[in-house]
Amino acid sequence: MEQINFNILAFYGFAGLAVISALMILMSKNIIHSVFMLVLVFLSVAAIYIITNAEFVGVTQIMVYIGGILILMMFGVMLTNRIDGGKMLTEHRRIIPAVLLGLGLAFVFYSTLQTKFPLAEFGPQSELDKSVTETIGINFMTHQLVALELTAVLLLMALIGAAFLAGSKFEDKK
Amino acid sequence: MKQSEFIAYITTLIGEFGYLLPEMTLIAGSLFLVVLDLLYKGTAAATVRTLATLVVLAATSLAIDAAPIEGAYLNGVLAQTAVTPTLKYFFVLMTAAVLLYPNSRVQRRTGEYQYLILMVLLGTFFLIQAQNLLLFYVALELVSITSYVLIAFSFQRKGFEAGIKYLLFGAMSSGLMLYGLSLIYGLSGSLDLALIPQMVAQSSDPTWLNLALMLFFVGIFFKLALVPFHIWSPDAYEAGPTAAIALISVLPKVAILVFFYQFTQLLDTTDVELFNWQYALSILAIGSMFVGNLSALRQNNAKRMMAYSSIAHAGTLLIGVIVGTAFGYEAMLFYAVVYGVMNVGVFYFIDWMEKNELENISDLAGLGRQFPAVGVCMTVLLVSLVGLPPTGGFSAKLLVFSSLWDVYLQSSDSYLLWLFALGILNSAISLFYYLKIPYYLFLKTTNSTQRYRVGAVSVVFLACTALLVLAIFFMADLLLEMLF
Amino acid sequence: MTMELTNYQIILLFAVGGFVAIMGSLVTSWVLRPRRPNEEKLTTYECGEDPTGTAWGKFNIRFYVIALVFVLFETELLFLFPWAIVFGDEGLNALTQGKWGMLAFVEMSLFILILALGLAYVWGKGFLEWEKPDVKVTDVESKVPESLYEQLNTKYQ
Repeated sequence: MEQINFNILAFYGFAGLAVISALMILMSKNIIHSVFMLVLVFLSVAAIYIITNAEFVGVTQIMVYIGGILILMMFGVMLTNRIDGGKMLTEHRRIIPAVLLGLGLAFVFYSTLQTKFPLAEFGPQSELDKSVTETIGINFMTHQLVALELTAVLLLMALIGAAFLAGSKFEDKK
Repeated sequence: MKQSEFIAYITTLIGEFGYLLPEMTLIAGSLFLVVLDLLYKGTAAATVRTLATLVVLAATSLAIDAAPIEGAYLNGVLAQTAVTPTLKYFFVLMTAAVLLYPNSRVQRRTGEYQYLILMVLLGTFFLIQAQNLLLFYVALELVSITSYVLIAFSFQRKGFEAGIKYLLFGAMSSGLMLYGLSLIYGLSGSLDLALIPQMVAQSSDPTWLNLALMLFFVGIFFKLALVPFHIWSPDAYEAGPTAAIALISVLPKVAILVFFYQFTQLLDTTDVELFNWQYALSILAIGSMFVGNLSALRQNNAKRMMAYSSIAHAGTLLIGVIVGTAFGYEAMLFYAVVYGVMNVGVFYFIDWMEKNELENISDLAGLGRQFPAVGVCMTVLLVSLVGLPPTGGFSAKLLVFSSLWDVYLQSSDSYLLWLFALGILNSAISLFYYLKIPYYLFLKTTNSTQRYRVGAVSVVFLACTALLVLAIFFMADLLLEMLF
Repeated sequence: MTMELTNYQIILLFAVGGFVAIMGSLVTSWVLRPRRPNEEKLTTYECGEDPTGTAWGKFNIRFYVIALVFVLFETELLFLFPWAIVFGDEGLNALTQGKWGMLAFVEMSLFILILALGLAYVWGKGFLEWEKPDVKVTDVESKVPESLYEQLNTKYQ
């Protein structure tokens, strides 16, 4: 039983860390603190993925979110015009409807959690005998092939759209 | 997967790639546009690019197999039905029409614009064929993210603001939907639509499935801009470039509805006792119709009015899904096609208004006498949007509501009767704001001496859409035949 | 019952260990060190220029576009990892008489080609160009003619 205990313990530890840091993002008034708290959220989520044997997703989380998206958000914060040495502050509005909506959602999830999650039978392990990452690779090339190619198109579109919108400002200056 | 199956799998995968010819043509064409934009920067670049886009669209429509082999292909990831080619032709035509808008010169100057328009088209192609939840999600994101970018393409502060709003709401709803989809995967063990019902049936307790479906539906409702997930749409419609709005108010909605219909059909095949989703959808449909129509009454800005009108129309379209019969599906697609044609016409006129710096409906006073042809065409289109004879809008509403009536007679659920009655009441409400435009065009007079110009192309365009709408009324069976 | 750790969990343990080691030494020194601050010690640079303004300058938007391009290509890279370890799989290739390898190769080539176009796009549109300062080339008009230098060079070769 010790093994289960270790995993569950680690899960609750990291999940708690994620929730607390997420709350701190919400509570912090300084937007830069919020961005740094986001690092903790992403890291603990990545740790949860790794604990649950989804290693590839965990590494993806670290690479893309911490290595990429966060840098981008940091740039976003630093690019805003309002930085003149002062702190960037955020504020909360419409707290009451937000809290009501949040509580409602929490209630829905809570009442659902009262029943056990009927996990599907995923059938026996693939006969091809591959590791998790290899299975993902084979799936990319077989079952999700169209989705993979469409992802390439999607990424290209996102790149062109985002670069164009971000870059249209300095194109005029020349 | 067994070893012997794997060989067969790979062989079908390679063998059936030809089915994707229209999509591949579209991708190749859009990539060609990007390259063209990089290489050719002459004075006539905008015209050249628009022409090239039209050529790509023509090539795509040639590549569409008019009589497809029905059923799933590429190992069940995609599927074609008898309607698929008609819908594709419809989407291509809508896209081509949108490229001809008069005021889109600002947008056309940038090479990215046509590329993004084609990306919306590509996404809808996949949406109507997707039989796999992951593919559905990727295609939906392709459409959505392109829409976020297109909204910001008016290059005004307002446009960026609306784009950001749209993006934030959209990201939130995508997140919820993805959560729902992953729960469905956990419950059923499969992402393929065909396999979901039989695998869900293994477990008897529907609580978790209900939650998963709720989350998934919220995402879909957001993309359809149904009440109460509609908040983004008036702002986005008002600020975005009219041509792009004309496109994203029809194509994605129709494509998502097609997928949504297929998905809800699956729910009926399971024995699991689910929540009464028809009931929930009915409430949303009634809510959308009321909020859309009542808010539209108060609008003076033409684009905002059309935004609320499209919320109301989405509510009406949803009836097809609630009905859930083959007749209901047919009626919904018929309605979608008519709505698309009307929408393209009305937005064309709004685009012309914008070109002449007219924003509000009250600015139109007396213009109908100056340009009787335009006025008459607009009147036909708007009468059709209300759903009065002798226009296609009437036939469409007739079909949708009679399919609803049929189902009511069979099941005699009282909420269906409410939906029926309130739906018809809403058509009456919409009369007041749609006919405000002809009222201003013909009956109001103005002291303004400002002269406007209407090009021959605009008259022809509007006349074509108006004639189409009339033709659909008189030859409704022809369109129905084409659809099925 | 023995605990079986996957490779990634070992990495996680190492990460936690590293974190504890670093934080431990920092905390220890924070507890042990003497605290006698004075004004000179608290300046950013103890010797040299006194800094003016804040460190939060406004960034050039070009950083943002480049970061954007980076994120997208990083995402592409992630799709390459799982592909790379199965693409040359001999078992699968033997099973499908080479079809597998061809399929995987062609599909991934398409994937990369489509995204490479993105790089061509940002390059062609000049989003990667940096605003370079104008370099002034100074011409020194020397009274000594060039030919004299050359004579000297040839002489002592």
